[in-house]
Amino acid sequence: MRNDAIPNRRPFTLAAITVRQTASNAVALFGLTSLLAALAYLRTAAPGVFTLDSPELTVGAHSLGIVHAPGYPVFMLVGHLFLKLPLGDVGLRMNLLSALAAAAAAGIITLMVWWLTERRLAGVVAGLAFALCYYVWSMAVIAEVYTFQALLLVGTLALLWQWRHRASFASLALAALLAGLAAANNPSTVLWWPGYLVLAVATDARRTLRLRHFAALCGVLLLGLSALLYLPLRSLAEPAFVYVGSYDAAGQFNAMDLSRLENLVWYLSGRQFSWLVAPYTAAELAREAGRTVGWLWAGFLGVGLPLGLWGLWTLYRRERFLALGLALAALPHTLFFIAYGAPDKETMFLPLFAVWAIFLGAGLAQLQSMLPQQGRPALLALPLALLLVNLSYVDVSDFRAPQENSVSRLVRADPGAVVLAHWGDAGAMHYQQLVNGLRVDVSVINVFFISPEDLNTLIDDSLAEGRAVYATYSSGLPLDRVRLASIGSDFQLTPRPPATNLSVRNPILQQRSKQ
Amino acid sequence: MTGSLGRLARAILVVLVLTVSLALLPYLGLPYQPLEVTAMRLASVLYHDGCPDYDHNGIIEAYDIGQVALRWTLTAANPDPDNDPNTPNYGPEYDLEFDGVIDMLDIMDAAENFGEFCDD
Repeated sequence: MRNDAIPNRRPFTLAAITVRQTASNAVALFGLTSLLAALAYLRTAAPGVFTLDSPELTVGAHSLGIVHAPGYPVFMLVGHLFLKLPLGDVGLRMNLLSALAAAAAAGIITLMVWWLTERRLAGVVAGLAFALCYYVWSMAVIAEVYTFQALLLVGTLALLWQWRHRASFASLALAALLAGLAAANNPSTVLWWPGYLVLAVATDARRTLRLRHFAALCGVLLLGLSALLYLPLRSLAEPAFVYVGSYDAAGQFNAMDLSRLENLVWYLSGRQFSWLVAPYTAAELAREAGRTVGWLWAGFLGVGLPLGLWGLWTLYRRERFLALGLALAALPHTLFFIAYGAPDKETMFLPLFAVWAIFLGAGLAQLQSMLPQQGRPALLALPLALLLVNLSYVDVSDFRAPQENSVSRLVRADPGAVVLAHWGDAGAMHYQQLVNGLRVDVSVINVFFISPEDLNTLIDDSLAEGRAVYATYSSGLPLDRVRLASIGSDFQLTPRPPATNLSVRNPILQQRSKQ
Repeated sequence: MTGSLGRLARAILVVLVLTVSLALLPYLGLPYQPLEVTAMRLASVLYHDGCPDYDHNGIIEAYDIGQVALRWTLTAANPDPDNDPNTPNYGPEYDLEFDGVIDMLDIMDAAENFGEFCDD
């Protein structure tokens, strides 16, 4: 009696596949997982514009603008089309795009696990575990790029599986197209390519390839990469919304010209955030690696880590290059982001979670084979537990603060006022101005894009001209020259009379003034 | 017989590993916070360069470390406990550990970089 859950046939025969894995079965499995995931996302999605990068990405897609590096041009184009749908307001629509992408990715993971193991239950459980894992679910209820990128990854992996096991050149060509689109969307996704290469080359199907096939593959890859043209073309069109450039001391935003090659290279290479790349010492790097393993462990509620390792081992024994290719699709990307210093870096490991969910599925299939028939539904305990544990963590369906705060800040501002804000707050106000046409007379300054010197000059000159100046934060403002008056959680800046000095109460400033 | 014993041993091992991994969960706790809390905490620091150079003179000196120390015990949940915006308040720029509270770890982070230069 054979206990292993993963079939020991290599490669699968076309006949076996057509008999066992019909298209209707595939549609049903994909549909079931995607539908359940989508229901969870719909129940918990943010009702409008969110904070962090969400407003920026939403305005960027709405106006076909240019967002922060690396620009996500494919996401901008897809988002722009999606926003044409008559579903709620623009902010909600963009949130739903994330949900749709995550639900589709979960469905594809279900299909892949089924193809690999011929276990439908394991496939559905793995797909739902991916969908309901905190790090995925939290990115599926707000406008973000990560679930869209995860969809591109698992879509490519599924097509490569089809290529390996059915020698379908159309699948390989589509995979190359998706790889090109993903790289145009975010160049860091070329870190998935080592895995793609192993999956595409280390298979008997490669013997069917001729020179014309390679030429066609290069063509479709370039076609996908051509989405990068969005950046210089839109830059030349001077869109209403651009988040690459800088404000001058007069508060005018000078957009970087991305039609110039050196600027485009600077932008695509991520140097807009260069300080975030590998800022760690060796000990800190080890700590970050430990944190990442901790996220993976906790993301699947503890049991996903050992089950995924079991699945990886089982796949490796059955089909070494398939396991290796899948692992290499996630590993270089994961290592890069372990060394990345962004405070929200845990959101950047969705490729790891997607590939791990496939390994988890393989492990679940092994577990399923050990259980008696009547005990197998117990596997559903994993997605059920994820649902119960994470629901309260990710439910932002009542979170209207970014929407309400951005409106109230603009509405209460004096005519022609200057509002200084950090990234998420500024983006939400830009959203109200550019999407809803609210208070376009107010100059909203995202202080990330202005130097401290220019910011101080802007504050001084604006106050001297009699313009009202507000800030959504207090830290770092020139308190030696301005006084802050609270307005709700924000502040209005007024010139500080010369006689008053903060150093009277601040011993450190006192010490500095003596020096 | 040997096969049955092997399967039994494997089943015991699987149950043991899964149980231990699961049991660690309440002990270690989940490493994430509600999305709303995470968002509000990160909203203003997402692209802060993390260099504690608050007078923008390009070097981390006693003044900068002092600025973190002045905000010791202040939290994101209650950023202005004396309700006076002109006294030091919690600010995410001073929360170098990004954990919502300015504590000794943040002061140590700043102090460890004493004399270092911040890149442009």
